[in-house]
Amino acid sequence: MTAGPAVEVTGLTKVFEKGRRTIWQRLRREPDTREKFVAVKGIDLRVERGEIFGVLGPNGAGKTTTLRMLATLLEPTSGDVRILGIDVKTHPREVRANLGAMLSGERSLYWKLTARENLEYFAALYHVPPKEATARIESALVAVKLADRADDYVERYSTGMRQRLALARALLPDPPLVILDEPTVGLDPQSARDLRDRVRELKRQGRTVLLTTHYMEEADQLCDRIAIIDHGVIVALDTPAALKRRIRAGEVVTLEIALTGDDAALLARLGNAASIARSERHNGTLAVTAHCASARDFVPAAFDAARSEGATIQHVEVVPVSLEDVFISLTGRALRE
Amino acid sequence: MDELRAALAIARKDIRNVSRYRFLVASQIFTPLYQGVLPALLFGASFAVAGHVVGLEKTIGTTDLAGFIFLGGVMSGLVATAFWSIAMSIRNEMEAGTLEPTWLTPTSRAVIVLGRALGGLFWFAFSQIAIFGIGIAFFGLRFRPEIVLALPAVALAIVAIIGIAYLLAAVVLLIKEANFFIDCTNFLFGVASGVAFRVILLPGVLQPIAFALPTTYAMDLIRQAGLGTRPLLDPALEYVALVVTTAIAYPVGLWAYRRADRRIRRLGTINQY
Repeated sequence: MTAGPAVEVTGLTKVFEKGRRTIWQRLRREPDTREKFVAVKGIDLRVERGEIFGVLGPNGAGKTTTLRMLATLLEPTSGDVRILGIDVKTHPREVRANLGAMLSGERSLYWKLTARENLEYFAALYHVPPKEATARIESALVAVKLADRADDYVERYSTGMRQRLALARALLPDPPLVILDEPTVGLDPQSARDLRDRVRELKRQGRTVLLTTHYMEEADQLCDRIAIIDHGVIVALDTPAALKRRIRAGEVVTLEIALTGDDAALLARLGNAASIARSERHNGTLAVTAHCASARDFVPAAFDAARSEGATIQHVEVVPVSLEDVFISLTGRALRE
Repeated sequence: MDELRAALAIARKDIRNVSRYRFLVASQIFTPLYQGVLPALLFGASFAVAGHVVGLEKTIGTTDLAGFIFLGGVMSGLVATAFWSIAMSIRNEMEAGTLEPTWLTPTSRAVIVLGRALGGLFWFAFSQIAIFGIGIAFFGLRFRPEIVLALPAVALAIVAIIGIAYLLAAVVLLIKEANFFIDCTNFLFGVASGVAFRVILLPGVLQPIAFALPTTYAMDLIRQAGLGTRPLLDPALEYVALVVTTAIAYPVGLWAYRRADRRIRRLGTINQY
């Protein structure tokens, strides 16, 4: 293992083929005419040691595909990946020995074994020396607050406990790098908060954490830096604060406007007072997201504009700028669309 | 050493997992008994003349129907271990979602199958001991002391069966519907290995297949040692054939398994089914 970044990715691309190529087509060496789907399009990424790095994007953006390539579960179509200075193509087992990964959460455990038995099993598979295994398992259980339930069958655990146990498993090799794919998906707010605390603890221990999420609040609270990914491309990469500064607005105002006629003139008038990030029309209601320097100035102007176009503002909401707004300004779509 | 510990941990996990389901433990004994051994034994006995299975004597040189069937059950159990306990259980782990975290560890993918083989062989040994006990107690099962001479053949058959399990694991990782494939091929493999009758009774077109399987020679050598049956070929030649077919089955199986691993890493289907 060499010094340098925890993760270094250059030109990473993954192309999936849709459909099958028959044996007959192969034997006849017919050209491959299958439709190709590019899930990840030549991304470059550098994650420094000791940081919590988030990959944020909607479902299907390419986050999980990227993580799976880093974790050696998926072979890249092209590009280079180095984890802790080790090439994933030439030394995948060495990469796995230094990597703690939690990719599929609660399903990834043996439910008919106890938490301790699960960890004993995975400790052997991670080649944890037998003399250290017991202490390592105990420490992992304590870290995820499951020490008192260690001898219960996993089938008796809640979803949040299983997620925490999956995280404990990822810590068994004492990895400098931990990869988490949507770690809080499906958890209740309390369990999600617990898990986020555990992730912060990993950083305090000096580990690097690379996580994906489609919860922007989670990314905002946890991550030192964030890469926003959409359609397999990194559209922005920076600290959460710097990303939010990009949209050059102090506040975000969302409006719901009842309108019968054409909305173009109204949008043009609103556009004179603020930057319109997004507008969407459903029958007689126009939903508008506007980025402005001050809601105190914009909202009265919006009411004037609506009145003069024969429209009625039914709902106004003023919120601070979030990563969701950054995503909308970069892609024109909401994160959950 | 690390890989051996990993293999033993996989075996221990499989043994623990099965032992947590009491009916599953019972089924290790009773399923081969009621699905294979007893119907074959009763079917054979129904053709006996005044208690003598003259046909069997004429074909293989023994009237010991129980010995013939119970020893067939040994090979049948070994084949089932390769098909169900090793190959199909990898598929089951894939569907349960536990294969992916296993593949995220530095343990070699080949050792993952080997560990399952050890777990499967434990249950195989457990069920055979119980079945033999039932055979001795209720069906007059007796063997010649020379049966211990068959141990090298059993050992070679185990190596061959692990090679075959690698090949099967490669297939079940790639195909969508593995259950029918495993069920069907397990039956055909058992038939072609001569577990219930001599392979010379098979239709001519199937005999080359039978003679290409290591389990056919192992089966014949075990019956020869345990019951004094007439061999298919010269025993020395059968040992050579067993060694050669095993030496082919193991590396070919491992090669296919590694190819399948590479393919599913390329397609990203480790967590799909």
